[in-house]
Amino acid sequence: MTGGAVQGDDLNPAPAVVVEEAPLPAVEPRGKPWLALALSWILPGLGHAYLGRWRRGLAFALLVGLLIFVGVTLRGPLWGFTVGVPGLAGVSVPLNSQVLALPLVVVGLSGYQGVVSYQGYEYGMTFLLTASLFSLLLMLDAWDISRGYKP
Amino acid sequence: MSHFLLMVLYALVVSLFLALLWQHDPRARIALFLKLFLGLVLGALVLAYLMYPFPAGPPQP
Repeated sequence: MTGGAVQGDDLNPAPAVVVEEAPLPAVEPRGKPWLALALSWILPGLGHAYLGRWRRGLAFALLVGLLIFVGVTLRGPLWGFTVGVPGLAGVSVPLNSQVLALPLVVVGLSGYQGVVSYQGYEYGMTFLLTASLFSLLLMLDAWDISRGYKP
Repeated sequence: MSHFLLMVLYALVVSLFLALLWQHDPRARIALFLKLFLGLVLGALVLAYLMYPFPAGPPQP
């Protein structure tokens, strides 16, 4: 029998239809996943460069760098202790501290501190928080590429 | 820098980043970028317009 649905009756019921999941597209794993993840943590985009995605890595580094630059220009909070701080600052500063490794060190060595009273403080905080979240996404993306889950 | 300019800059960077991250085909990438960018900017303007009738703070003495 070619094509068409198999129909049964009371005496000869139709065979159960077995639906198989479509296999994931084959992508060759590359590099070491933990190294790719660690490099992405050290500098956003570096993990992609390590995996041979130079152009994407550079674009990601520039975009996250732009977010950090604008956030710092607007005097947003980059790091510090924020126990009891309400709102986004209570989330953004710990996240920045844990996700943005090299940018944090570079900016921190310059003696930079956020200025709560500055008019752009909350905008800066939003830009810096977004940079941290994007850095986290890049770490996961580098992991997925390295494992062969993504092209 | 004005509020609007900052909002447009933010929408531009976020849209570019997510389009680069989520799409690999150039045409799909451009389509996603436009959807995200216009959605963020126009959505914010619509929200601002809807909030316009509400008072901005406590009544003046």
